[in-house]
Amino acid sequence: MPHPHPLLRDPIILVFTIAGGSLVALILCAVFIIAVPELANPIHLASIAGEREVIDSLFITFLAGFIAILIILLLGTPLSYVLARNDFSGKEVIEGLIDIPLILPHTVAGLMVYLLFMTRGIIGAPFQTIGFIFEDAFPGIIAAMVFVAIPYYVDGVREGFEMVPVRLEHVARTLGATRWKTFIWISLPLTSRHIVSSALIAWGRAIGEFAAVVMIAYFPMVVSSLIYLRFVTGGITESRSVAFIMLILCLGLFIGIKLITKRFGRYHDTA
Amino acid sequence: MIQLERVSLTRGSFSLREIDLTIKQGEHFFIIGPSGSGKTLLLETIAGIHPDAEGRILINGKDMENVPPEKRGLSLMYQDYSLPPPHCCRKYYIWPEDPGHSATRNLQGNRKPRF
Repeated sequence: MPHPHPLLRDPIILVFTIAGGSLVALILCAVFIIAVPELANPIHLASIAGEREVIDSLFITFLAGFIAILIILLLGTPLSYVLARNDFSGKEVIEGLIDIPLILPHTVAGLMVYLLFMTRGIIGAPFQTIGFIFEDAFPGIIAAMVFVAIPYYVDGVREGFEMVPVRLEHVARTLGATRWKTFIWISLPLTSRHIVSSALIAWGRAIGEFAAVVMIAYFPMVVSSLIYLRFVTGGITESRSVAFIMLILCLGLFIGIKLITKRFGRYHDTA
Repeated sequence: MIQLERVSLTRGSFSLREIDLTIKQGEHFFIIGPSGSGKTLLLETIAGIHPDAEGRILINGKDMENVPPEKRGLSLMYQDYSLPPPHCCRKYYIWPEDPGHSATRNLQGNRKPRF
């Protein structure tokens, strides 16, 4: 007697395959709809990729994203640790505050960043007196990127720190390590995977930000702004080429970092 | 000698209430109790992990208030061995004898880890 195909024998597999497959297909279609026409016209693509404006905006986007992530790494890691290890009154309030950039419309986040960092803003004004300007300048892009990426990093890394058994830290201290040494040699390495993956997501969020960046710094143009500008002025073919270049770069970097850090910081913990 | 004078501490559902205890040089003590009774909390408190504990802890007659765990000269071993995970057996084995290893170099502080 012939066996029926496994998909028919077990309907749940069929249902789950269709449900999950349709989402994967949606993303795949989105990639193809950009990639296919661009790859069909490599000459046009190459001419766009060689444009000064495009190269500049790519450089600005990735550099600003990199600096934003450095700032978040430096300031967000201690914050994540404090949130993971301590219970104090008002902790929920702080956690809620951290998630504000995540839950708000990006334009609201953009307005917040603008009001704070504009040349008359409460952060922008004192900086202006020392000649450091955020409005329509490179630092403004970084400020907007940091603001919107904070929750992605802090939430992920806090989860990582929570998974480090607190007993390992206790033992390290009875063995003679100070709080600093314990943090740097026990807590931090055991959280490295979460730090890398959260930083990667935060970075993706940062370089993709449009609304918040545009409001504080339309110029110099990040890639998101450039794609939008070309979409409303030049149309589909103009914007699609830039989008495709961005797609390749982001995908390449993302997969590259994932591969490099695949075995990084992995451990099996029995504690 | 380890002396505890009216040591109290509450951590979640665990609590120590006014514990008085003297352990003299050379004595061996077993602390027995059902799980959740605070045995580990007591040991952690002696080791200095919980600086907010009330009462006094004296080690060799010296008040341990404001003395951090790394300066108390005690060792604490949990029922799991609390080895730093990213190592293989060989590394664990040679760890105490390997002064060049980063973990030894950076964890030992005042003295070598004892196993």
